[in-house]
Amino acid sequence: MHEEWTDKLSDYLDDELSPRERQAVESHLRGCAECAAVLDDLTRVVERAQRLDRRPPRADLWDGIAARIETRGAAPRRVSFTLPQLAAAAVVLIAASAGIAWQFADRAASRSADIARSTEAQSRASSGYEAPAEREPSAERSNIDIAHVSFADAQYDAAVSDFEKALQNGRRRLDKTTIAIVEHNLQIIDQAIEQARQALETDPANDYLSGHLVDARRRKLDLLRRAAALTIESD
Amino acid sequence: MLAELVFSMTAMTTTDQTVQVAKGSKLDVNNFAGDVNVKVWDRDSVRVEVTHSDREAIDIKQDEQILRIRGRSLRGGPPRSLDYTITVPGWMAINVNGTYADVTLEGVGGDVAIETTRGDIKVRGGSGFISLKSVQGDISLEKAKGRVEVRAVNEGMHLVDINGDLSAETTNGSIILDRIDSGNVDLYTVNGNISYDGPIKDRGVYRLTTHNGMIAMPVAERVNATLTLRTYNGSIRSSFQLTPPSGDDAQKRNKRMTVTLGNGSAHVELESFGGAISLRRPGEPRPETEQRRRPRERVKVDMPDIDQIVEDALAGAFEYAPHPVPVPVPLPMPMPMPVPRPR
Repeated sequence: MHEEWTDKLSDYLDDELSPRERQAVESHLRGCAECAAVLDDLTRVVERAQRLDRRPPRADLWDGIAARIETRGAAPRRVSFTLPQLAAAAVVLIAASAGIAWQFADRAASRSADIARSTEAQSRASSGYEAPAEREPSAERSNIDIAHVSFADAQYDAAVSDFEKALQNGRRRLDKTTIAIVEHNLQIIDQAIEQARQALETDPANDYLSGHLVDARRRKLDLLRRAAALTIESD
Repeated sequence: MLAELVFSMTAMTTTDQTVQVAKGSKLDVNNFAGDVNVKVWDRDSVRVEVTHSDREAIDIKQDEQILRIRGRSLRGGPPRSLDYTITVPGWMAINVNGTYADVTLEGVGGDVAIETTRGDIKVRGGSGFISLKSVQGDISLEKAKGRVEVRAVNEGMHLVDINGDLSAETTNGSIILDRIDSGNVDLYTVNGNISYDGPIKDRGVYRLTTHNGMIAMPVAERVNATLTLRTYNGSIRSSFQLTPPSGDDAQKRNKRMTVTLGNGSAHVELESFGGAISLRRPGEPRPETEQRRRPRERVKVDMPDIDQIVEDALAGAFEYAPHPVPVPVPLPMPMPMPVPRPR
């Protein structure tokens, strides 16, 4: 494993290295098939992301994300990732990049870097990785800032979790029928999410499925937020 | 028995009050349970009629440019069910909130914002910004213009004669639209059909998405639009010949297709994960209206009928397919949900 080099590949792709660093990376790549393969993966990922349609973000999703950013006071985090993580992330990204791309199309200042970095966020989120604000201090030593990209998944999961807790805490304030309706519809959305995920597993390059999955997840967040609000209004 | 006795002893009274309002004023009603019926007249005043027991009071307060109407229990807690009839000037903006409230607005002409947890919403009229939200309840809107946002959860919606930007979402229900005149449409449901009826305007944006249901839309012969049709487990059908770019194989054409008509200036995205996408010419019958109808189901917590889902999807897909196509093979595990029917 050459973590010291893989850490630099994203910056290399973005042409953000000094001439000396760039020369060193190129020299290493000539002799390291593993790192060259990772670079190829990243290059394909970035190229694919750049070809994606730019869809306007659905405002409601961003509201939820923005609220979380404010409440956490999220300062940019710098974390590292390992070669296996990176390699796995490249695969995951093929499936997830469409959703990430449109969510942040108008906000990301550094598009290609973000997409590459989002691989890690996606990978960690899919494996149950913790939210950025809860990472170990040692994770802050690396050169890659993924905080704003990771909201696409880790922060989403955290937001869903928060709303679920709020709904759980306030469910006694709702009548049983309303609770049944909400839970039934959450179940419907979960089924849709699961079906979209399964479809993505068999067809990971399908950008329609990626976007569809994002839409379904946004819908779940919307419904949870609305249900949580009902518990407050009924108080 | 005891409750009936107590109720019979409760004295009933009627509040009937008329309040002058200045142009530009807004009506704000909060009714925990019961009906809110709003109609219009040609006077710059608001009449509030409600029958209630002597254990409730009706507060009608005017401040700034808002007329607020609230029911209040004199013994604490929410008031019993109250049925309001409110007459307003046609220009007045209306805001109604409720938990178990059915809301009906007839002929209103200003902004409309209605939110109820469990109750039907029926609005005729509205101009400017129109927002209708219900968790469980039918939503229907007619003859509205401006920016329309409709949000349901466990029920469908029916929108007719709408002029302006339109956004509608539900989770478990169909979205049925008739005579829509809009260049900006965004419709989304997880489990339900989407039926659109209206012209595609140059440079318009139309996004219709469902996870489990059919999408039906008319496309005129001379239209300037780029159609992006995508499904995963459904199929694409058209009552007219679609000419996708050469090179697409038949399998892909049945699932994903981008077609440019005219100069392609409007963007039309139709996406259904598990259902058919059905295009037709204006004036041709709508596929979903041909299907037999089921009585209204409210809270659908019953087990789904998977055979019915497949049957309906296929029926809708093939009834209007003039070009014979291979039967799409449903996934081994189709969306296990009941498919709501338009009423």
